[in-house]
Amino acid sequence: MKNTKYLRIFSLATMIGTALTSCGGGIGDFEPDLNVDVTKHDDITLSVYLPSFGCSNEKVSNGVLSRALQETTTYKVNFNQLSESAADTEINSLLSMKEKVDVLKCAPTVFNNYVTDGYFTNLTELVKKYGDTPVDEKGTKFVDLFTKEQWEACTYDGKIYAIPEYGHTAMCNSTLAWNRDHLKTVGIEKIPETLSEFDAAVRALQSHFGAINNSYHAFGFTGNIAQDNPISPAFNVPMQWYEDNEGKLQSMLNSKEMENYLRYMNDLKRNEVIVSDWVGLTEVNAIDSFVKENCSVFVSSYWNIKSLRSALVASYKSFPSSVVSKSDKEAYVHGGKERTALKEDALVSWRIGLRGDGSHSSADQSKAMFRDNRTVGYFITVPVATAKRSAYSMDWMIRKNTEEATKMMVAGKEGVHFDYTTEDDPDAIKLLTETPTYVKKYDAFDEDISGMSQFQTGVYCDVARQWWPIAEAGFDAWPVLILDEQGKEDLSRVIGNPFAMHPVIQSYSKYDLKAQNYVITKVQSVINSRDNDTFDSRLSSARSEYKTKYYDKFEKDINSWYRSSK
Amino acid sequence: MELLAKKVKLIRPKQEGYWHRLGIKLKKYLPIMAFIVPAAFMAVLFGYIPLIFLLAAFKTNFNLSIYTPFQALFSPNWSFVQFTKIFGENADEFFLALKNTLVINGIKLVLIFPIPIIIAIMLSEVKNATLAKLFLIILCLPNFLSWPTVIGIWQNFFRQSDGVINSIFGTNIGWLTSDNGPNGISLFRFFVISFDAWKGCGWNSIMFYTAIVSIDKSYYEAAELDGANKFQQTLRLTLPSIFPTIALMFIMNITYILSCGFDEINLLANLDPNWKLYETTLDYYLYNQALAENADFSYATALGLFNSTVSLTFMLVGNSFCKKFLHRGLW
Repeated sequence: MKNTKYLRIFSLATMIGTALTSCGGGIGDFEPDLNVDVTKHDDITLSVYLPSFGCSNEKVSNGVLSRALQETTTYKVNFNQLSESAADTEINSLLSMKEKVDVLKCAPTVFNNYVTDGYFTNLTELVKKYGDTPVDEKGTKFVDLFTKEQWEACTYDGKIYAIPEYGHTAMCNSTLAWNRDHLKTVGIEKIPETLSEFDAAVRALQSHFGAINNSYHAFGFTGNIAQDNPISPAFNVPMQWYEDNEGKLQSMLNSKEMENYLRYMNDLKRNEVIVSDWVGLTEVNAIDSFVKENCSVFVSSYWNIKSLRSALVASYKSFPSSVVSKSDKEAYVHGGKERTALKEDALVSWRIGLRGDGSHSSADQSKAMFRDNRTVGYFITVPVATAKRSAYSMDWMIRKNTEEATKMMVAGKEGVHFDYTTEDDPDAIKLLTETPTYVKKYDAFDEDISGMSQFQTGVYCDVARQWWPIAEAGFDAWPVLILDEQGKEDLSRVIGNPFAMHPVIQSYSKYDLKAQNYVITKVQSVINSRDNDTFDSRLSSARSEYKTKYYDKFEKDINSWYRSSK
Repeated sequence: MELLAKKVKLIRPKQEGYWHRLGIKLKKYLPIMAFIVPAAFMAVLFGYIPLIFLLAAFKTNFNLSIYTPFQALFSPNWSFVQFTKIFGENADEFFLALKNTLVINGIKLVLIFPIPIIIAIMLSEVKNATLAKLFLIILCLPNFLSWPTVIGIWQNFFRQSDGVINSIFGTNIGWLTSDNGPNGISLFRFFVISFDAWKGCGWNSIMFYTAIVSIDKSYYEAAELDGANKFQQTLRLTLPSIFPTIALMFIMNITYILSCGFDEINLLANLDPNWKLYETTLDYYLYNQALAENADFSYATALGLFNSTVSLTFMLVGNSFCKKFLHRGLW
């Protein structure tokens, strides 16, 4: 019996020992080591995770920009893209499994979700220690690259947990891309610019092509842009939050403008202008549908125009009989031999923005409006698993935010990707600098720099803003900057979000991600309503459920902050 | 006799020590026990040691990122709050998921469970053995496809624009949506059940097929001599003969009554907002709590523990039922 007892104790001890070994992990000490000499980082390789932007892993990890960044910052970095379809789950796994991630770029909802539970390193002391590092020749300090509000957005309980990544320029990411031939077939010569023109066009197209092709639905709408697309600004739909008559923050779901927009989209859906299974479709599906002529218009991101054109050249079936060779097809798709900006007679055509004109309860706008992206779009964080060596991450971030590094990330290398030129040069692109500066870009720009916005953000904002025209203007898509007649940023045309920049509010953080997912799902559900009664009941239940499930939980806290911030 | 018994008692050898007996057994069975060692080690390492994390269900918060697992497990924040959340704060979502799961699995048990048995019986009636095996292989193939592939294949059939079904029949029905199905009917459950049947029935029929082919052929010859037709042979001979297998599989199915599988539900639910909102099942709900939106490991563990407890209860009840009424069971 005595021996049995010893055997049991031995077995138990072995079990616990094995459990301890298998669980792993050191004793938690998640404070940055401030005594690290960051100048000696030859042996350090940082692991950086960025949201996916549709570029190949090879281009992200070993492309021109990543190599140039290594040259500029002198840090070796492993760049990794997060999964496009399941980024939330992957971030969850990276954080909870304590993967050795040195820098994680995450969306506001994700940052809010995790920061209150202590998943990110407290960077306050590091910002104090390294924040005064100059980032340009004028001696501008790193901390001064961001405003007080932007730093506040990264602060929780008085401590800084992230470096803000600011959308530095008012710009439009997507627009309605039309099949010019289809429009001409139904007698429309002009690309729609107002909501009533859009409406007339899609209904005429549906009526004509829908009668011939059973699979045809004029508007290739997709699920991920249910609320954020070129049509919603025509109704002045707020960006996530708006201030109600009592001065309180309200979700966009409650706004009258949102209701008008949803009613219009529901009408399109019920008239089969939109395919019924649009919720599960992505932009890639929409491009496929456009090429197969199962739709005549869809919402295209500027970075997808290139692949759209390539797909049309390769697979479009309705080229005129005279257009046979590949070069002829390219010319037909692009509207000319030169494959640059939009040409009037191109097969694929667009107009930036869609202006509300009062029709269908839209807003009466003198110019098209755009949703504001000049906010903290991402948070650069250091997960606690690598807190000890976070000084290196901070040093790398500062080196990446210099004037020199920013210019390289936005425009590439002088002589390779661009060169300075004069106003007379037909290829000249005017930069947004105070003194007029003109540049022209080389072919290598499209290959190496285009679409690599992972690296272009999180940079010296003023420099990035000045150089942004070369990144976007006329490369193969459209001028995406929102400019006035003088070529300056036109901020009067952006729809703002009063709650875009706020400190971390604990009660709100717990529900932010879930609440936003809920709104998107409900918006999709309301657009899908089969009749007016269903529409009304779904919208009403969405609003009341949102209130009880989410809004009531954080309403006091967010409004208390909002009142005090005004 | 009494004297003899006393003598026997007297001459009974002295009881040997524990280590001695263990030594004898080890010596005797060592070659056989060696086979068990790797499996036992894996079972302990991956099956039993992780069970210690069930303690996470009894914490107010279990944060793996800022603590080591054991710091997090043994921190003094014990409570039953996660269990009260299941039936309190999150009751609406939980009971919706539970209801959907039970309905889907209930239908599967009634309608889908018999299909592999029928397939197995039909295959056993194919006289050419090679042909029977070929059919079996063909029927088993879908089982080797991943759920994303299966959903992708059927999506191509059922999608509204350019879908195979709509193209063949010249219809314009949104089969894969909650609002635009035929006559406005949502086909979510139909798809979940039928895709599952398509994927798994062939594979599940193997067990029954092997049970049928192992039945002594002389029984059939005797039944034939007694004038039993094919249907009577199946009813009176085949089915009773494979009944232990049927009972075993039925109990196994009951054990998974609270699990519909995550992949299929997730992929299908993402096709329509109302499916995502109202057709959620326990696995999908658990995924959202643990991995997608919440990262609430304590709550997810409590939910998992609850599911396992209910499943175990179902299994025990099912087994008792089978033993009492059908005289067959797992043990």
